[in-house]
Amino acid sequence: MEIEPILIIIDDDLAVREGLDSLLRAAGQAVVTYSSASEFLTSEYITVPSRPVCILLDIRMPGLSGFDLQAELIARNHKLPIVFLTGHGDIPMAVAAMKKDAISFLTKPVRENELLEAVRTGCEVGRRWWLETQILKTKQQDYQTLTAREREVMEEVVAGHPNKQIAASLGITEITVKVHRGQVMRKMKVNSLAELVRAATLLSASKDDNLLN
Amino acid sequence: MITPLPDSFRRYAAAIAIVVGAFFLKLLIQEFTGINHHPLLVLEFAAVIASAWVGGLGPGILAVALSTFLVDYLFIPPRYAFNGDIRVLPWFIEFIGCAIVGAFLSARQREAREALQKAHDDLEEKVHQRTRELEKVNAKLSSEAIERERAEEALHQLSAEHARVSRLTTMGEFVASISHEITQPLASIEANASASLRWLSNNPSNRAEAEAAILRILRDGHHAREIVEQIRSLLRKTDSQRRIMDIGAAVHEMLPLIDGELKRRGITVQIAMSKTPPVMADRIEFQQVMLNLALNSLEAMQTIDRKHQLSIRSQPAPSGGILVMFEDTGCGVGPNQVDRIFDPLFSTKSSGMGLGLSICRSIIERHGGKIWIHQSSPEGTVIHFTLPATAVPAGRPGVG
Repeated sequence: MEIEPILIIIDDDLAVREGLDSLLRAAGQAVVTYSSASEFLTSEYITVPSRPVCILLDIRMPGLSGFDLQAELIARNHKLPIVFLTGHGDIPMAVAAMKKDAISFLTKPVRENELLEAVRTGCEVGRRWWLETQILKTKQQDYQTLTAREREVMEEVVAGHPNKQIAASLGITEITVKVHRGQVMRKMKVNSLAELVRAATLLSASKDDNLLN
Repeated sequence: MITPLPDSFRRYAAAIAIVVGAFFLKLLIQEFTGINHHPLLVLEFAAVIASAWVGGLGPGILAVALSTFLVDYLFIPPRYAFNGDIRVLPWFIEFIGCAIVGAFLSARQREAREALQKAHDDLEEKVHQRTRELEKVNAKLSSEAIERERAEEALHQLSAEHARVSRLTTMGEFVASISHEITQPLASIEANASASLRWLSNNPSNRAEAEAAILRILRDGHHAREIVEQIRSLLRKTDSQRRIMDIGAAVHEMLPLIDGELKRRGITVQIAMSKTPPVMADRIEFQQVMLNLALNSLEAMQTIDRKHQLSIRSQPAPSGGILVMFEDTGCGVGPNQVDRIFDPLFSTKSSGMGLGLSICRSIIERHGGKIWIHQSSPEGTVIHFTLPATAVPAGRPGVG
């Protein structure tokens, strides 16, 4: 399931768009371009995300600005890496962008190496975030298959309690706890207690995110 | 150098000299003719009157006293002695009385004549004085005229400088946008150049992609150069050069400078230049007017509550020449600001210097035209300006 990240270029200036598109394709990067942020928001990369992305984003644009898009993606809980590329950036703008987890803040005209490096980093981050999202999605699906009792047992197990104590607190036999425990390990597709704990942490973190949003 | 004797002294000396002179004249006449001394007393009278005439009343009295003495001493017997002969007393008193009256009248006559002379002299002096004053005023006036000419010269120089500074100011206010207009094609050129190198060095190389990128470099380079030339022509310090000018072309030349800004703000432009008589105008100054007006319109159209449009139209003016109309859908000018909007240093914008529209007005008026706000409401502003069709008298050389 290793899909190459695609670079999404959003710039209102046709000449810049064409130049960046050509350069990055020549460098072997898959590219797609949009002339506005709102156009991108209605694209397949948002509605049915099917591969990792990195966004190369202009700031001053008619309609939604680059910063507006960044805020909108955060609000929608779309965690996508952004490389800003602007004709007139200043330090406060760069700081604001980086505080919201932008990958890089470049100013036009940009040096080729600098651009490629930032895009490479962005795509790498995009790939990682994409994988994390995919793993989380699978684990969430796996978790959905657990019964109420199995979820109770899983909670106790990742808390580090021994079977005897779990049996006592749930009011069931130790044998039954062992059966539930085996089912949890199988359904959550993990081979060790450590893996189960990691999956549980991932799930609870995303649950917290959902609570926050 | 001899100090001149006091005037009174000279007058008294003259009286004495006259009396003594008359006395000796009388002696001579007596000596040669043997005439009785009495008729010759008339000489003494003459001397007294002459003394009073020459010297005034004081010397006249002195002459009376002196001649009395001489008459008594020399003519009234016994001669060469003062005596009290009672028979000659009435005659003697008569002499003194006549002499005093004569001296008095003579002195008065003399004073009157002097007063007249003095009045005459005073008048002449006054005329001289007035003449001198008039000459002074005249000199002052001509120096003021020179001063005025100098001031006018300085004013013209200042206005040329003002025009140049205003161009710089306009550009200053616009520089963020302009720099964007330059960096966009530059960024594109760099990206395309890098791309074409990569397309060629890739294995296998892609000639078609490389050529496409190179063509884009040419296109963007041309675009960047156009913008730079526009800026340079605006910043150049030039004398006013009025030539027959196509207004429509000037509008289209100005557009690339604000194109990016228009796009970013989502403002559409409508240009309708109808067939108009040719005008004599300075192309650069005129572009400056257009740029200033466009800039103001852009700034007025910052609100995002509606779709914005900038409309530039021209038509023949009813008075001859052309009428150009700038219409925007911006926030408008307040009713109490309309009258002052063209005043120097008046601005409705917090960042404005209040020069833009005053510069527009001074340029248009130098060209013999007029500029005014046709209407303004919260829905938009319409600015009109006219330029005369025929050549207006050329401005002074050096006025930019």
